[in-house]
Order: sequence, then C-alpha cells, then structure tokens
Amino acid sequence: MVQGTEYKKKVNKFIVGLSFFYLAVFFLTYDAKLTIYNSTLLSFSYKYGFIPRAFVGTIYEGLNWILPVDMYSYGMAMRFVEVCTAIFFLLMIWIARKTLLLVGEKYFKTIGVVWIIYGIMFVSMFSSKYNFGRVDLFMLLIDAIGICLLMKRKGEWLLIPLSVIGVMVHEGFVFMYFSTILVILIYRFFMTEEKKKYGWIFALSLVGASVTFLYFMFFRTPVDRETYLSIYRMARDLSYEGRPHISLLSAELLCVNLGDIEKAFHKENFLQLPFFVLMVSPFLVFLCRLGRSLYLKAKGMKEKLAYLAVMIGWMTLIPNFALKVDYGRWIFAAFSFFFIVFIMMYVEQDKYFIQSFEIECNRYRKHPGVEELMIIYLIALVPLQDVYINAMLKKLSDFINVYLQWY
Amino acid sequence: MNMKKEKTNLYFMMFLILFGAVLSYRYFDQGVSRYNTTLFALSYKYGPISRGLLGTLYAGLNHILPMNLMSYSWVYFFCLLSTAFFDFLLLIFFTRVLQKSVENQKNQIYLILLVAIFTFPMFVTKEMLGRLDIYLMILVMLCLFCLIEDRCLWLIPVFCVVAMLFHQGFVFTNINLILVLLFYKGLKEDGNRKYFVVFGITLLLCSVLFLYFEFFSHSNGSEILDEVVTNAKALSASGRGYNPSIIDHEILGKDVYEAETEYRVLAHQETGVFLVFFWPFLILGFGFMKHLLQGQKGKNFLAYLGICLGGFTMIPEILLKVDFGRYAYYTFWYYLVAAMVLILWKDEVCIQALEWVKSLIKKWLPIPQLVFAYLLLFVPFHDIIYGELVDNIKIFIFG
Repeated sequence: MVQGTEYKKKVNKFIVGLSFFYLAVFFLTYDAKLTIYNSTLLSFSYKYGFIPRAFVGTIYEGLNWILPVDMYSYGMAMRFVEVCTAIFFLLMIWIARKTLLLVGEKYFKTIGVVWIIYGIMFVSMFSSKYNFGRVDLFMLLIDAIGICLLMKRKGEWLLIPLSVIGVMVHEGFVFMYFSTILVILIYRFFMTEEKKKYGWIFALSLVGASVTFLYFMFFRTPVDRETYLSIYRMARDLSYEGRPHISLLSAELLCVNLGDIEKAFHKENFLQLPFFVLMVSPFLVFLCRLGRSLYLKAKGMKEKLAYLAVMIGWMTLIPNFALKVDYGRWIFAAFSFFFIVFIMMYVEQDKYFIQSFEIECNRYRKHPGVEELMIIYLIALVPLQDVYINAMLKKLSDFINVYLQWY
Repeated sequence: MNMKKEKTNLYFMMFLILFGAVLSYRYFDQGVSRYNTTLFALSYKYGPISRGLLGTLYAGLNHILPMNLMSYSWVYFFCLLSTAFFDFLLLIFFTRVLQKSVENQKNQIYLILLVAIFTFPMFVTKEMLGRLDIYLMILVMLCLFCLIEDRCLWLIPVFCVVAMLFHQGFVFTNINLILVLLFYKGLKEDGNRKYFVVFGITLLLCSVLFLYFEFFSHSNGSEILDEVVTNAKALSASGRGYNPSIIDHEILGKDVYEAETEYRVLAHQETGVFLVFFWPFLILGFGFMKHLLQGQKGKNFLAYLGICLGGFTMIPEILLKVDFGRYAYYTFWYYLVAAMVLILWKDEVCIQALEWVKSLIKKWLPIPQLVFAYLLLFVPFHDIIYGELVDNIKIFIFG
C-alpha cells in the first residue's frame, strides 16, 4: 500500500541518508582491485561454444565490438566492473525505496532497519577485493530484477529466461540465488488465487535452470587447445598481474576436478564455521523463534508448506557447503535469501509473517540498546570474503591451527 | 519496574560483551609495533627520565618472576593482558553507571554504546596495542571509580601522578575529564571543599611533573643512548628494530617537530575529510554545549563552562603534534564520559541537553539507529590517521 506525500517525503529522506551510508560503507571496504580470478572470467565467451560462466564475458565481448575502445585491458575491465557495481547498488537502492513505499508507514522502521543491515552486507561484499567483479554480483542482479518483476506483478513470465540466464552466468546460481525467486513463486502458488500462473512460471523456471545446469555439469566437453590458448591470452591481457587464473581455466575449460587442491581449504572452512555460527547465534535464535511462530500460526497444509519454503529455502546451499570451499560466498547467499524473502513477505502483506516478525523484533526493541547492538553487530563481521568467511575468522582459525596442526 | 530495568541492563551488558569481544578481535592486529616495544626499554635506572615508569615496572617484574621477560613474546603478552584489564575495568564502569542511573537508563545505555563503539577497537591495532595510552586509561578508570563512588578521593592525585610518570601527555589528553568533574562537583556541592583540594593538588603535581619531564629530564641522554637502543632492539618483534623518534625525543631531548612534517600534512588532509563526514556531530556537540550553558549564572555557569571547555585541552597537542586519530578519540571519550557521569549525578541540565540532541537526531533521521551504524564505520581510530574510511577517502581525493 502506497501512502500519502508526507510518508513519501519521509521515505525519500531515509533513502538519501541510506545512500550516503552505503557510500561510506563502500569507501571503507573498496580495495580498487580486480583479482585475477574475477578478471579471467571476463575472457570466457560464447564465441568459443556454449561454455560455462560465459554470459558476462559474452556481454563484455559485445561491448568490445560496439565501443571504439579495446576492452581487453585491466583498466577497461575495472571500469566495466565499476559501472556494473554502481548499477547494482542503484538498483538495490531503488528496490529499497519501492519496498518501503509498499509496506507503508506502520512497518517503515522494521523494513528500514532490514535495509540498513542488508546494505552493510552487500555493499561491503561487492566492494572488497575478493568479490569485486565476482559473477555473484550478476547473479544477485538477476535476483533483483526478478524481485522487481514480482513486486510490480508485471512481466513475471520473464523469470523463466532470467532463471536460465542466471545459470549461464554461473551454474552455482541454482544453489545460491535461485531459491529466492523459487520460494516467492511457491509462496504465491500456495497463498494466492493465481495458482496456474505461478505454477507454470515455477515449473518452467525450474526446468529451464535445471536443464542448463545439468548440461554444464555433465554434458559439456573440454575445449580444444586453440580455444584454450585464445582464452588464456585474453585473460592474461585482462589481469593486473599479467597472468590468468590457471585453476579456473583448467576447471571450466578443461573440466579438471579441483577436489584435491581444495582439501586444505575445506579444513579451514570446517574450523571457521562453528565460530561463525557462535558469533551469529543471536540471529539464529531469532530465526528459530520466527520459524516456530510461523508454523504454529499457519492454519492449513498450504500455509504450512508456504512458510516452510520461506524458512528452509536457503538449504539449497547445503551441497555447496558440503562440496565446495567458498564459505564466505555461501554465507552471503544465505543472508541474502533471508533478507530478500523477509522483505517480500512484508510487501505481500502476509499477516502471520508480519505478526511473528514484529513479535520477535519487539523482544529486542523492549530492551534499549539491544536493538541498536543487533543492527550494528554485523558491521564487525563484514566484509565476507570468498574462501574464508572473513578476515577475523581466518585469523582465529590460523591461531587455533598453530596448536591443532590440522592444515 | 526495577526488575524490568535490571533485566534490560543484564541483556544489554550480555550483548555488549559479545559485541565488544567481536569488535576487538576484528581489529586485533596480533602484533606490537616497534614504537611501543621501544617504550619498554626506557627505565628509571637511567635516572628520572620521561616515560620511564613502564620500563621500570616491567624490569621489576622481570626481576621478581622466574621467567626472562626481556623478549618480544612476553612484551606482547603483557600488552594483551593490560588491554584486557582495561576492557574489564570499562565493563565494570558501565555496569556501575547503569546500576546508579535507574531513572535515566535509556540515555546511559546510548552513551555506553557510543563509548563502546569508539573504545573497544581503539587499543588493539598494531599502533595502539601496548601504547602508553592504555595505562593512562586504566588510571583514568580508577579515578572515575573514585568519583562515581565518591570514595577515596585522595587516591586521585596519586593515580594522576602515576599517569604522568607513564606519559606526560596525560595533562592534555586525559586529566581534563578528572579535573573538570572535580571542579563541577566542588561548585555544585556548596561548602564541600574536598573536591577543590583534590583538584588543586592534582593540578599542581601534574603541572610540576609535566614541566620537569618536558624540559629537565634529558640531561644525561647521550650517556645512556647505546644501552637503551640495545635493550629496545631486543624487545622488538624482529630483535633488531627500534623507534628512533622516541629515542631522539625522550632520551636525547631533540625536537622532532620538523621530522614529523610529512605526518602533519597527512593529518591535516585527513582532518579536512573527517570534518566533512562528521559535521552533523559537530552541530550536535556545539548544540549540546549551548543547552548546557543556556540560562546558567554564577557557579552553575562556571561548572558547565568547565565541562564544555574541558575537551579543548587537546588544542596544544593538535597544534604541536601529529597524532590526530588519538586526539579525536580522546575528544569523543571526554564528552561522552563527562555526560555519562553528569547524568549519573542526576544533573537535570545535562539530561535536558541530551534530550535536545536526541530530538534533533530523530528530526534528521527517520531511523535514528543509523547514527550508531554510521559511527562504527569510522573506527578504529589509529594514532596519526583517523581510521581506514577517512584514509581511503583522503587517498581518493588527494592521491
């Protein structure tokens, strides 16, 4: 529900303050560096065939063709990533404004606080050197576009090709960011009258993304030597170190299994994760209570299933935690899931969700200082990295490993 | 009602301890800089030299304890222990403030949160871990306990003299809070001269010590130079490094003003950036002072004037030295803790001034909690630079 001009002014004022805050977070965490991993991916292109993770590189190739400059240099790669990152941040700010207008003045504070916390996470994530220019930005951009379509309730059929594009950006999309869109579609399937529409969009999105994923996982073939060398040379030109990321090229182009190389990283991840869980335990308690409250409030099977999807949709990340090592990225994806889905529940004006969420927030609000601490606490944990969860936990795990000698 | 407030205090302190621990560890650099290890080499065995107390105490511990403490690893451990002790004292102070401020619990909680944001990460970075500031802060905490409990005020001059023996800069950076609160209490409690007596003795002793250490304590520097440098090297992480600036200034009595020119330029550039991002807080600060002084006359006016001007003792340091990060921190610390103690003493004028500050923040920001999140982006303050955010912006502008 969009309210009067006074409320719009209040929202606009908040958005200006929020934008300034995001800018400060950006300056705090921006390293002005594109790592060789992220620049190497820009050299992948569909001109070499339907290879994985080549969507962004193909767009980059297209820009090289259109623009009167040679895009295959580190400087141009940096500019490209800076522009894409700026577009992403501006889109998120626009979505923040839109959601605040939709939820109304009654829930302005709750959703405003959610955007403060979520902004701390995504701005720091995609500004720091580990994830600046990472394809996760483009995957989240696809989620953001999907959310815009779902909020406007127009052009929702575009979610089908968007889901396929997400997998073309990175096959990990099916585990990391696809669940956000699917959960909202599941929710609308069970909780609205447009079951046929959302059923079809859900099914076709799922099939499209799954088929693309399965192709990239099991049916792609290694590229030939000439293609490999061509990509190698372009990746070298794009890199600030003058060399490409060999492991990435081997894994994605030659289908080499990196399992053995990543064993030591797994051990570090397993050592860091319990401490991270301990550090975010107040939020986990909040989530458990919220889930329990929703389950008890839900009347029929449809509602229970809808709320179950809302609370456990993030579990599509479990295979990533088990098989891959980028725990920083998986944890960010989990946070992103919760933030976006919870905001959408308010946009959907789900009575029981809002009641439960407000009750849980009020547990902290009734104690002065505690609410503020919960908001600012996450600043101490960011930026999340890629392999390591964050620098603090890396420091802690290295300290413990001096005695454990585990890796 | 009191049960509910006690529960709030308990939850708040639990979350604060978790927050403080995580924030401290996040910025913990796991090392002590050469600047700070060199200070352990200064000792009173060379005569009553400036900043010699730390090294003397450490050498004494080395003499008493069965281990050889004259190595980097023990210095590192000693610095960690000192910082942990300070954090412990700080948490006890917060607890006592909350217990004694039942009617103004909410205001005290917000002030405590602000002090925690600035303080927990301040003394764990490489430049600040083990810095003499931590011992000054420990002594300031002890003085504050005497003041808020209104007991053993005679210990205040003792603590302040000890602080001067640690670092004579205490007169500019830390003593202001203690003196101003004594002055305030003396004026507010008619007929109770003990505060003025303590104030006078403290001021006199510290002034004499400052003059001595600044101008008369370097006479035999060249005779002890080699031994001090050898000891300083042994205590450093590499076993070979030491900070020449400390040796030049504290042992040889040389003026390091010109040598610090490069840092001065850096600090001034950063101050410009800092003020651009902090101007709303300047408006709040000056507005708070205006509301303290408004309508006051006679002794009351003097008492609040002291509170307002107490933070300006940092000015000589700002003009002559380069540690702008530290001065900014001490300025925030002074005003926040002064307000905290005044509210604990149920000063209605301060409470009303704080309410004005809160109402202005609520007018500016639809979600006032953004203030705490915003401030957290600027910490920790370092010694010369204000912090990473200000430094990044300065580099972006000036290159």
